[in-house]
Amino acid sequence: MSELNANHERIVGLLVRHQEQLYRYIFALLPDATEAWDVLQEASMAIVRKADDYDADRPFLPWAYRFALLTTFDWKRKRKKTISLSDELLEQLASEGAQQEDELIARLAALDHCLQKLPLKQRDLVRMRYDSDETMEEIARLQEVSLRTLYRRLDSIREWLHDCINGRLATERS
Amino acid sequence: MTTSQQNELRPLISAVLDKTADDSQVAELEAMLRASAEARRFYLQLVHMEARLSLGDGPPRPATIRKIERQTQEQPTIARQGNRVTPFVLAAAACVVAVALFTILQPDWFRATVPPDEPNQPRVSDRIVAAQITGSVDCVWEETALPLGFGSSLYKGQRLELLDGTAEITFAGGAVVTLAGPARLVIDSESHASLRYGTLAVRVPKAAVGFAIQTPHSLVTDLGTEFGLSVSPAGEEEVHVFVGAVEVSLPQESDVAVKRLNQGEAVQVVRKESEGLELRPLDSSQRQQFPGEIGGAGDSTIAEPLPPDQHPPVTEGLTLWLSADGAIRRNSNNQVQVWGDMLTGDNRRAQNATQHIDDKCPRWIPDAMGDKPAISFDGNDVLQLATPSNLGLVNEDYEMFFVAQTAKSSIQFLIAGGYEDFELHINANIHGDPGVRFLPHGHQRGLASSDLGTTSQFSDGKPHIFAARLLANDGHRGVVAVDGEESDDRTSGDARNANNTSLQLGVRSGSRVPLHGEIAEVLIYRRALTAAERQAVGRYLAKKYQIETSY
Repeated sequence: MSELNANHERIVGLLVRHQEQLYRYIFALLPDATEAWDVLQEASMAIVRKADDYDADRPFLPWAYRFALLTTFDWKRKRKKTISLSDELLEQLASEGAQQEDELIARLAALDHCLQKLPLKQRDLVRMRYDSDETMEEIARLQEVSLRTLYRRLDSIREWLHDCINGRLATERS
Repeated sequence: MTTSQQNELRPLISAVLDKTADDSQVAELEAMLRASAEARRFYLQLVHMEARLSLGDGPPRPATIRKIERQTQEQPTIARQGNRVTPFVLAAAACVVAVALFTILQPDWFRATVPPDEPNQPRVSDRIVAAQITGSVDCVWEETALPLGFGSSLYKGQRLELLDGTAEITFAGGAVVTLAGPARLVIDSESHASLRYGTLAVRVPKAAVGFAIQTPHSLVTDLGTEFGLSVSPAGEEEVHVFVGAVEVSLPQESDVAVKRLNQGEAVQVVRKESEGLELRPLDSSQRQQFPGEIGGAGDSTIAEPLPPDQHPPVTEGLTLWLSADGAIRRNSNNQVQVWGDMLTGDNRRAQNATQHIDDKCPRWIPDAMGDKPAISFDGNDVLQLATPSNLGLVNEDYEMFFVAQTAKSSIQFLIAGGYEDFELHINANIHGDPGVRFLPHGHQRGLASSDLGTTSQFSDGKPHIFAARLLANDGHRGVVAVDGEESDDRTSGDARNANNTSLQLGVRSGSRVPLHGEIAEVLIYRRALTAAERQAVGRYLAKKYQIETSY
C-alpha cells in the first residue's frame, strides 16, 4: 500500500474511533442533531482530504476539532437563519469543552445509568423526543398536554438527569 | 454555580435545544455564558448530554450513505470500539467515513478498503426499504434532510408530511396508497402504516391482504379490498369501503372491539360522551371524496432520485431538475412515462415531465452519452411539463440549461411553451441559419430571438450544453449560449413572457418540428444566475458529460 493510502487509512481509523466525540463537539456549537450530523460529514471529508498533513506523533482530536470548528462556522455563515451564539463565544465553548472532555465522558457514562432510573413516564417522553420521528406537536397531542407544558417537562427531565449524574459521580468519588 | 443560577440558565439552554428560543433569549444566554466560566461548564454538560440523547435512533442520513450501506459492511475495527459508543454511532460513524472516502478517494482505493460482504456480519444500516413513491402530482413535502420526490425509497419508521398535492406510495408488500395532502403518514413496515391525519385511499392486491393502517383511534385491516380513510386534524376519523371488506378495531375502552365493514359501507369513529369510542354508520350523503389513482407503477421500473452528492452546485431558485440517471419511470420497453423532477434546495414542488400515450413516450437509452443515459426523442415523442406559472417563469427572469445531442440538421426543439414562447431549438432556417435559437417571447417575429452559430454546427451527434437566460440587468433581454460560449446576439427587448401555455420537451407547440435526438439533463432556474453560479452549473454539466466548454 502506498504512503498516501496508508495515511488515509490511519485517518479513517482515527475518525471512526473518535466520531462520537467529534459529533458532540459539533453539537455543542450547533445544537441540532441533523445539522450537527451534516457538519460532521463535511468535517470528516475535510479531515480525510488533509490526511497527509496529519502528524501522527501529535494527538488526533485537537487537530480534528479545528476542522470541526471551521466547518461549523462555515455552515453557520451559509445558513444565516439559524439563531446562534456568537462565533467568539462558540470558540471559547469549543476550547473549554475540549479541555473538559474527560469529565464530559464520565458524565455520559453516568447518564446511561440515570436513564434507567428515570421514571417510566419521563422515559417514555425521552423515547418519543429522541427516538422517534414524531414532531413536538404530535408528542404533545399523544401526551395530551399543551406544547408549553411539553417543553416544561423536557426542561424538568434535563434538570433531573443533570442532578442524577451529579449524584452518581459524587457517589463514585466518595 | 448555585441552583437558582442553574434554574435561570437551564430554561434558556432548553429553549435553544428545543428550537423555541427567540433572539432575545439567545442574547440573554450569550450574556450569561460570556460572564461566567461556571455557566459555560453547565452549558457544555447539558448540550453534551443532549448530543448523546439525540443519537437515540440516529439522525437522518443522506442517500449516498444508504447507497453505500447497501454495498458495504462495518469494517472489523469498528466493532471493537469502546462500550460507551452505541451500535448506531458505530454504524453511522462508518457511514460518515465511508462517504468521505467515497467522495474523495479514487474508486480503486475505495474498493480496496471495503471488505466484501460476509455472512453473519451485522449490516451497517438497520434501515429497511418498505415502500417507494411511485406517483406524484404537484406534491409539496415538508422540508427534510432527504428531499422526497417521485421514485424516492421510503424506509421503515419514516414519517412523511405531505403539505399539498397527491402522492402514490407503493408498499413492498404490494398495497398501493394514494395520499392527498395535507397529511402525515408513518411507514411502519412493508405492510403497515400509520395515518396521523389526512386522507388516503388504499388498493390492496390479493397478495397483500392483511395490509393495515393505524389511526390515532383505530386499526383498519384489509381483507382484500379498496378502501378510503380520513383523519381530520381534530382527530375525527372515517373509513369507507369501496370494494371487498375491512376490519376496524378500536383498541381498549371501546364498546366495539372489532367490526367488519363490507363493500359500500362507511363509518365514523366518534368519541362517546361518557367513555370510549364507537363506530357510527354513515349514509351515502355524508360520504366524502377520496383521492383517485394517479397512474400506478404497474410493471414499470422506477429509478430513485440522485443522492445529494450528485446534486447541482446551485439550487437557489432551482425550479426544475431532470436527469436521465435519476428518477424515471419506464416500462419494459424502456419507454419513459415519467421523468421525475428531483427535489433539492429551492426546488420543493415535484413537477414531473410525463407522457401517458405509449406512442409518444421517448425512450431511455443507458449509454447514450458516453457512459451516461439520456432520453431519446424519435421525432414523434414529447414530454409534457408544468405551466410557466407553476415553474415561476411568468413575467420573470429565468435561466435554463439542457444537455442534448442530435445528428440531424433540421430544426430540433428542446423546449417550447405556446407558439414562440419559452422556445429553445437547435438550428433554424428563417431569419438566418443559426445553429441554435432562443425565442423567449417571439411575438415580434424576426427581432425577438437570440441566435448563435451556423446550421448544423451543434447537430454533430455530440452532446452540448445549450443554455438560455434573460439578462436581468440589461432590459431582461434574452441570450443563448452553447458550451459556455454566449451569443452576442440578444433579443431586441424585454423577453419576459406572460403566456402560460404548458411547456413541453421535444417538440414545438402544435407538434411541429420535433426533436430527433437525446436530452440527458434539464435545469431551469426561476431567476438569472450570477456569473460565478453560471460557471459552476456549466462546469458541473461539462464534467458529468465530458463536454469541452469554456465554463
